[in-house]
Amino acid sequence: MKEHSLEILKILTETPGVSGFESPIRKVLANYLSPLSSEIKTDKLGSLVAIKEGTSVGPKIMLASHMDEVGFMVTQITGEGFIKFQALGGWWNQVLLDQRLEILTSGDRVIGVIGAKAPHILTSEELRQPVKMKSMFIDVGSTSKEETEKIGIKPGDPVVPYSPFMLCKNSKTFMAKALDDRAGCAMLVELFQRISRGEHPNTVYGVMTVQEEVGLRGANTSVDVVKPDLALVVDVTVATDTPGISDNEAPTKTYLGKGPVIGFYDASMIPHIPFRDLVIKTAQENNIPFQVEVMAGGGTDAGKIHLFREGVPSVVIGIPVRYIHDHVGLAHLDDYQHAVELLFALVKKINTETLRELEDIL
Amino acid sequence: MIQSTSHRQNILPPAIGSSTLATVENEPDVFSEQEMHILEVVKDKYA
Ligand SMILES: [Zn+2]
Repeated sequence: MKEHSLEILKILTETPGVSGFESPIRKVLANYLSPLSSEIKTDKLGSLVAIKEGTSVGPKIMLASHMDEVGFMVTQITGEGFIKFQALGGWWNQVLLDQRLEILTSGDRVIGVIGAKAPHILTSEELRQPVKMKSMFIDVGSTSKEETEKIGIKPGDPVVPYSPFMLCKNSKTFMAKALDDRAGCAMLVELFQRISRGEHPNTVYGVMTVQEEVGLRGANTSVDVVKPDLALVVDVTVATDTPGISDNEAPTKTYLGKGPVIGFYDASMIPHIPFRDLVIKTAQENNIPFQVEVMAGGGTDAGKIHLFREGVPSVVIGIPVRYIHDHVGLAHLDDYQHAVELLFALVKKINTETLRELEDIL
Repeated sequence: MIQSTSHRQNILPPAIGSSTLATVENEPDVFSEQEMHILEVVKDKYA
């Protein structure tokens, strides 16, 4: 099982798909989900909806993870052949310098590096200042504008971090780009692999949304395709177990290896409390470890989904990842597998009676 | 997860902590032969 999880994580994280340019990852996900679903379709912006009917039409459970990853887009080629870019999604300028990137041209994939001045020529003032993203550029080795254009690079080309998947020495922690949120997509694929072999008393809609990182846009449109009764959003969160993170910055610490994370609060949603408590009870009944989280500076697709029409009771389940929105994130296989366990236990449990109880809030 | 700097506010941590670690041993293999074939195709395409 471990090898299978690692294999799917490797494929899904290494496949490119920055916000708005999700075509490659959408194809891979559709390949995985088609044989496991009763029906598969997309909305008009490109989010993928895989439907797996159980023994009952209702309740309709939307399980959503976003397929897009943070990246960049080429905006301009300078007179000397360097490439200026626009960030797609949230990046901190300090993690960018000297990183390798892949530009996806209409032909080849071209590797470049974000250039940085050598310390020898920096003034003492510059040495103390972070470099602004606006003054950064990608260097593909060209010596002229013509050379860069001849390679096939054009304004509008998407750019992804170049960062192969790797398992750490402890054989449990893995490093990759795009764990936000390919880890969630991988969990949904594994969930579909499990439910395709048994019965569940509901209909599952596995939704891989587009353009989450630029404003939860795919969730906004795909929720209308599903019209769900309940939603579980599967997304990663910030692991706060690294040095220098204070209790003020992270009132609820999340650790690699201590279990999936249940969201108690983020900038986009307060979860539906009876549903949140059902998720906790299900984890406890199944001996699945979990952590809880308050994240004031982030949000997920649930922020849009729970506001659909008269409201959709929603909960966020994820795994902690160190260094999200970076070239290399780190996550733990135990958290990942326990999260799949928890999602599976919930899908086996939720039926029309559960929905009636959750909706009875008077 | 989208990065957001809006709606920040101070909030106390919830009272519930994490439970004890469970194991995930004895799990069945999750990939059928057909699924493994799709993996191979996908790998070739994006290798
Ligand atoms: Zn994110």
